[in-house]
Amino acid sequence: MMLEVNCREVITFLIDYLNDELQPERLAAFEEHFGECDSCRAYLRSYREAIRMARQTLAVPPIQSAESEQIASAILLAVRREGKK
Amino acid sequence: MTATFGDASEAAFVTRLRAGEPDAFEQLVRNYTPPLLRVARRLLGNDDEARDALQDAFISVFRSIRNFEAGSRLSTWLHRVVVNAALMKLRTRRRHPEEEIEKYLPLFQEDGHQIVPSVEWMESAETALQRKEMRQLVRTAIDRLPDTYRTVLLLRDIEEMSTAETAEILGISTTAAKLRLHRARQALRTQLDPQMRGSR
Ligand SMILES: [Zn+2]
Repeated sequence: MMLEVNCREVITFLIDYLNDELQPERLAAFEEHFGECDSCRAYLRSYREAIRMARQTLAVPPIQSAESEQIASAILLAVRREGKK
Repeated sequence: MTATFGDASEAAFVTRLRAGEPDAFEQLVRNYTPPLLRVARRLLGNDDEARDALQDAFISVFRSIRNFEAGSRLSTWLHRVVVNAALMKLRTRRRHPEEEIEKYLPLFQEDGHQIVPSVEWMESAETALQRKEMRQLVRTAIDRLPDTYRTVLLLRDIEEMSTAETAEILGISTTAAKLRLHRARQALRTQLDPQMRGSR
């Protein structure tokens, strides 16, 4: 008999699906479910989109080497002062 | 990452560090400041606090370098110290108790269907993020995640570390790291959903 999964299982184990960590039989059941369930398909797409939104929002400008050198020097001074205590 | 060594040269470098060679420690600070500062800035969202956290972390590294176990990678260990220093700062600055992640997780009926079925989002991430309110909403949604969840999301999805490395940095199992990441993403999705399903 073909394995069946419901929305709860699909959403609970969605990360395994995305990580490609499902056993072949279970993977087939997930694919089958996505084929017929609009809600889970929408959930999957929006879940991926949420990750992309986080990634784009938290992109930070690269740290300039002058700035990083200056911070590293200040830290080294502080470590020499504090670290010996 | 700006500072990676081959296995052999990392082992040699660690030996010099543990012997207390000042040049080695200086090289460590200079090489690892950029990637570690970036992580601290993302976690704290504030440049001054990030700098303080990084300084605290390097002081602690200086004091404990002798205890560094050659079993883990230097970079992983350093990230662990910095993440802990940043989490400590977050704890001191928090004025309200953390929210429960459960309130942002999907709910199901007894038959396994979602109580509120999901619908497609109307816009792509790129289009939505052209609006300032949307960028602000994403930031707020991430800030609202409990620290332990936000940290996993940052390390995995933003810094793009592996689950194993994230788990090691946080001192948790890979299963726990995966579960936390999934919940953090779900909680983020839930918070963005009302805007994203409604917008043109
Ligand atoms: Zn479904």
